[in-house]
Amino acid sequence: MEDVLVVKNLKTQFFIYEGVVKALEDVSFSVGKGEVLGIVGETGCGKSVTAYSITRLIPDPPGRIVGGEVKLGNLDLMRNIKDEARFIQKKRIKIKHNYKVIRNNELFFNTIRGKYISMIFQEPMAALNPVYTVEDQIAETLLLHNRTRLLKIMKSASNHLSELERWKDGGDIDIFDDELGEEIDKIKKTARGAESIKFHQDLLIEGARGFSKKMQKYEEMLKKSIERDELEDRLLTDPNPATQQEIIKRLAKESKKINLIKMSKQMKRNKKDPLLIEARRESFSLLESVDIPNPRGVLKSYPHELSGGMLQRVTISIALANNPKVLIADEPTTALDVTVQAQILKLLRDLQDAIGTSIILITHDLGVIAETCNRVAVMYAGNIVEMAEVKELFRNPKHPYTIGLLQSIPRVDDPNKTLKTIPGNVPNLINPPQGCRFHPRCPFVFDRCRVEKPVSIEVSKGHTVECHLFSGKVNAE
Amino acid sequence: MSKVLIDAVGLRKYFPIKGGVTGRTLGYVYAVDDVNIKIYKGETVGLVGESGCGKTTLGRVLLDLAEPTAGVLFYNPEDSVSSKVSELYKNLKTNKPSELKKEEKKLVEEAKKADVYRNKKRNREFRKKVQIVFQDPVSSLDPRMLIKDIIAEPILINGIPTEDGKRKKIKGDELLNYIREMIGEMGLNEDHLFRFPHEFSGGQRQRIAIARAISIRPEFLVLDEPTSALDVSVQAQILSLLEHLQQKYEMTYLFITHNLAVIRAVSDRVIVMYLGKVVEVSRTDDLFENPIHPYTQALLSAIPVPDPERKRNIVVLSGDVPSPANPPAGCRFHTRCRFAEEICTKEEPKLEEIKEGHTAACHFAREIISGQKKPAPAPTFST
Repeated sequence: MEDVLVVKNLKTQFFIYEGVVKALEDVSFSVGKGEVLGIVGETGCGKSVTAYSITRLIPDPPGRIVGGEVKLGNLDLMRNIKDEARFIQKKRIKIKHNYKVIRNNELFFNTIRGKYISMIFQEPMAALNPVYTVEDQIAETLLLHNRTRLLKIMKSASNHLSELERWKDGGDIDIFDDELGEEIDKIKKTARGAESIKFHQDLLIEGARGFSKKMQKYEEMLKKSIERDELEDRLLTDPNPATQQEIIKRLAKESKKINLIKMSKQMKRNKKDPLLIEARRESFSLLESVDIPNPRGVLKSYPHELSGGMLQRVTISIALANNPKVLIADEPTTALDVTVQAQILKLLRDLQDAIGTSIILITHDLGVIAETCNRVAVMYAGNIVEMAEVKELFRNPKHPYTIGLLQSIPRVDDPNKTLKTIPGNVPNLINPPQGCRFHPRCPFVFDRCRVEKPVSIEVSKGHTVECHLFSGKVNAE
Repeated sequence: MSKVLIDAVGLRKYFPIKGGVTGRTLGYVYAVDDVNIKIYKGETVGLVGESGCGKTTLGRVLLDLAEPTAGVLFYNPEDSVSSKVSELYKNLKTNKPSELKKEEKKLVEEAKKADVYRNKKRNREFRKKVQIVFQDPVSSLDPRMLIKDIIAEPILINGIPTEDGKRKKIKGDELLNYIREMIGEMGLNEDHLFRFPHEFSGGQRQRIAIARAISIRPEFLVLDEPTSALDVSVQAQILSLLEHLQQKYEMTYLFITHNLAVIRAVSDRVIVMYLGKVVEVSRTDDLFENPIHPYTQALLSAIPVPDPERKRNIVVLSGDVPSPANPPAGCRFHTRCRFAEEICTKEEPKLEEIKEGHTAACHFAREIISGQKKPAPAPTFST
């Protein structure tokens, strides 16, 4: 399987008054194309920090990625992480930031986030902006990253205006051989009821008219947008770091920043702008694809008017708006009830089948893992202690921590199971235990565990464990 | 069967929705609506339901922490009295609080004579016998009190029971020794006594909250989502601690949670709530193997099972839970039910005994278990 995202020796630390919190210690994993990778672990084990590190959302200060590599295609996302700041080791550690590098990185990451890697957060209420409508917020990501597609559809629609009008009057329409054709095909397949099709038709025609009025302006815009897309794609495919650097500089220079306030006002005032009309239509069809009842009403509503399950659907539709290569779902169902959780997980799986995005699913619920993931990584205190195919992990857990975790969950289907417990607590990561970080709680602990940090050992194909118990055995064999 | 410890009859709790400049009452949130339940001595009753279904409110009403809008609560009831009152309550047909008050006045006189802990003196006696453990151990412990003071407070007020059935107040060294013994039992150290709550982890805080609750040896303990803020490995520790304590001190538990796997592990009987109503009551094994109410069926099928090789069918409920301020007419579940027919939209189903020890509130309960009634095609998916 082709690897979409490769994480190597990722190391993130938090520099706080009490000391340095070693939140991630050499985390390495990879995500294949179309794969669902589950990351499971207890509170404070570094699941979310991993996700935030990959998307560079760690608040700095106090957090800092101090090393490692995250490769998306040929591009290393942690490329110039070392240039961002220097550490000055005196009595206490001091950090000297290089703001120019940070600003450039930030601009460059705006092209990655939302387009190539997107994220779903645990609290949908906190992830959405309370003062903008759902429509504004979905349209924002489309306008920021997907202009080319929107404009191409509009261009094609303005060329085929008469056919579209005939379609609206009840006639049939041929499927064209371009973006518009795909779109019409999708509308015919997914639209719910005549009213929804009519809404699509109206907006398409309205947008097409607007486009043909100011043809030149929008043609220009399209050309620029295509250029930019090509640049961005080259960034991921070009293996040469020097060219990458050059492209990033260029991107940063002409980086477009969309002002949500301005855009929202524009959308209300400038009803004829085809770009905005198309963004609205696209938002509508995204809401339809995530099974929201009454999507037209929801488009106009504010986050507080919707229930938790509905909000999570909205955030999913935002995350999937640009068909990202990797979707990171950080505890997407933890705040929801089981019946709603079942709805959301089904939705994620259906959408993944349709789009083929790779998903990193972060959760503490082993049940969710068992039902949705292909592969699982078990985390403990900033390390990935075990990684395997999901069936292999549940059938044949190797690491003492994984075994303890599996024995401590109550099962609905097995009421007589005696719950075993893992003694002790998660260690403090400012002064983590020497050697293996699990050794103070481990029932199989021996001398070597207390001094030497275990390395990852492959016990069977695709099943790796970080534990000294297995190193001896493998060597002996 | 053992003796009834708590008998709730016609329990209702409506929260007024205030609005406008003058603060008029615009409507009511029907958080708990006409709930009749019995809890027997020594058992663990699980109370499940989705968020907003009134689980916590019911728990609070059962402890008289929230005064019910209508309804009576018997503690250690005599059968003759309680059955007489429940007969009266069955005739209450309104859900407007003002009318309820009038109607109820007549029958409450009768009930009050019996054993309702509503007046101050009796309430105090009642409070010595019941305790609660809250969901969030961070906010339920006073951040300015030492652990020893937190645990000592209820003992200083209520005393501890002695062997002859009376209560005795203790203080000084005797008290400290008592607390030491207690804290050892909870799996904490003696030096933990002189620390503040913020110095502990979530699991340890929950142990302290449990220690405080059982320090006066209550007979009835309400556990309001005691493990939902905790990790699974810590959850297992707390659950086994609770089981041990129940056996030692012969307590009765009401275990409120939304985690059905936990319910299955700890409880003897289960009460399922939906939008303020009890929809199904049954022995645990029976409920999990043969759920009757369509809501329970959907709820059980939605729990993820940590076993990737187990294939099962998930019934996906459409839509969201309706607002409890404006519940649907008839059966409250009919808007999302796979079996719903016209009668469900008009008539409210009664909680009836379908099998021995298994009651459900559904018009088609018997047809559903005999398999005569087939569900409407709904989105199900298999793993």
